[in-house]
Amino acid sequence: MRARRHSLAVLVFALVAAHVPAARSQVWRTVTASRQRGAADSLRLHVYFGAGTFNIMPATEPLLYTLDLRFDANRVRPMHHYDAATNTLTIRSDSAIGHPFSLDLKRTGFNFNGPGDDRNGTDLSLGLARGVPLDLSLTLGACDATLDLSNLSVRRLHLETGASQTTMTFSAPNPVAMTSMQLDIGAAGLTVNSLGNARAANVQVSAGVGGADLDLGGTWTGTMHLVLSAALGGITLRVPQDVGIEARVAKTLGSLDAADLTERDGVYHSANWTTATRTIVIDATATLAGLEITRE
Amino acid sequence: MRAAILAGALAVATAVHAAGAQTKRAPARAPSAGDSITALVDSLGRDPNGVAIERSAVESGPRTVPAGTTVNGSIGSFHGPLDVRGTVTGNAVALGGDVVVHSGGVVRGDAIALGGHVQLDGGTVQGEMRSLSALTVGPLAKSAPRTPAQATKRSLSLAVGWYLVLAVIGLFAALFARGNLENIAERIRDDFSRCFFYGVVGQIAFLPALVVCIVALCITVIGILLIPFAIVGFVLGGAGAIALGFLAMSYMTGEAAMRWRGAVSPYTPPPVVQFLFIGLSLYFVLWMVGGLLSWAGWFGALIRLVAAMVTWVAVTVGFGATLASRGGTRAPGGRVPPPRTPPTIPDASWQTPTPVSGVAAARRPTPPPRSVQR
Repeated sequence: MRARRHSLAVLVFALVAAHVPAARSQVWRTVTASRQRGAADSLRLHVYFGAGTFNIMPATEPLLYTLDLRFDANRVRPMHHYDAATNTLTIRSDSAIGHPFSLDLKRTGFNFNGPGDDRNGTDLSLGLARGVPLDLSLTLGACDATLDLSNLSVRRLHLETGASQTTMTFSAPNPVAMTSMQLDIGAAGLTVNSLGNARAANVQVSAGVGGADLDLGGTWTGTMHLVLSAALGGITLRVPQDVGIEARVAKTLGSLDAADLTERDGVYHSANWTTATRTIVIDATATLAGLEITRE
Repeated sequence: MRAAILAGALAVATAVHAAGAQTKRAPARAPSAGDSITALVDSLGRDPNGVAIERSAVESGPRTVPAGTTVNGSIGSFHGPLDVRGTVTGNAVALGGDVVVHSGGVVRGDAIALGGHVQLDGGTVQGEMRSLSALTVGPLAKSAPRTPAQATKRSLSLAVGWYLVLAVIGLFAALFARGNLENIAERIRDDFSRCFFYGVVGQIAFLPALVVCIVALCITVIGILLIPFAIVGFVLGGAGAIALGFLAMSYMTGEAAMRWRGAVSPYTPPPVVQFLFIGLSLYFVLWMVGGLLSWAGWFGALIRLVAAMVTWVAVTVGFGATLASRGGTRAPGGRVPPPRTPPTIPDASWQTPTPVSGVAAARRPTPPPRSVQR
């Protein structure tokens, strides 16, 4: 009797599954845009990107920006706008047509649009001019993002991610000093390679459920101030051997894993703190989270 | 175990269906000579990545802005390249062609190519250079209409795909849910018109019932969390009932066809699978004919309409019967069918085997004849 009931349940499920047609047809569109540098002395970039693949890299041609966009017009309607007065480029590709969660009953079946649904996500590749000071504000949803900021003159950077897996690389020193760097990580992960090349005196990292892996390698001098906030997730810092470390860590059911540091009056110091030519000062808050400092 | 086998087999069935209904990637359609310039210009103005341009600025065929000349405002070509050697104070737009800005050429606005590319050949574009594969709004946003051959092929593919899926599902329903199928069919046989009525009411009441369900969950406050699951479960249940009902109706149809041919014996159990396949095939034939006549304009549409109506009636009756019989768990008359148990064997039957050759009956003792006393 039970076997029969199970069979019936499975049967009903399969019947329904068979009646759910495949997702509605895709209408792929591509947009390629670029702008000559002209008299622009800087570029502000605001990107709001939902699901798909997002890349930033240095432009190969002497252009202010290049933009390659590929999207399914049945799902998203990306737009971009450049304000010549403020040198601001805004790109939006962050909302599905209709509501972020929607059942499309217009066609023969139903189609579920979810904000994290990147099966048919948008591809956006952005090339940015070298030598032009850049203020970047990136808000990413559920996407795979690769940010190659090598050789770009990044003056400010604000990265906010939802459930995206993001890799950021500074393989060459930033031509300009970065005055502000703020990284807010949601539920996925962030990996930063050669963060030291960013030449950021102040870096703020806030990690939610996801984790952050920050490699502080690269060419930098002086003192870097790092403000870390981790909740539920974890942050790993990879610090070069020659860098002196001072860390203040407020833990609430959190942990600090730093074998190289010694505590004195609630402040952790590395052995070379007083002699190092470049140092890092860490103010960390760990709530149900772990902070790990390793030497590279 | 049965459930696992069933699940695997039905997964295959679903995969077959999914393959049949595979998503089509509609290719971007470049502007052609048949498109209306006015409609294109209008759509380009409404496209998020497009640009506004006056209709009067666009002319058919290749266009050139000669060196040393200035075009005040925008200029556009339709179905041909736009070569800029002079100065354009507005936008330079090519609909279905390339925009080429040659050395000495200046575009003070944007250079936009729809279905082409913007090429910089030593010139200057002060605005943005933009290439669009196609529009996202308006007539060109739609993919190219299907040719009659494509339409026929698509209709046939859909019909065959649905038939295969329903055949596989029907086979498993006949094997593992035969009782339910027979009860639903019996219900249809018992009162066809009432089942149809129930089916229509069920279809009309489906969404209101869902709303009532959601409201009821909201009232309980804690049930709010269950609303997404309730919606999915409700939709799944409804679709499952419709499918099961249609299979039962196919079974009925097959049985009626066989009975009409006089091929049903009252002394043998009904061949459920055979009836089911015959019924499904009859509906399939309707759709195949409709599909084959896809090229035939209104006549083909009429045949497809007939097929759709017949199928809808079958689905409605089956759905109504499924509701009335509570998924085939109740036989007509409201009685719950007795559980199927194997026939009982008398305990002592094996103890007294009977020889094949039979048992010689003993002669019954009879009293000796009386002697007559003289």
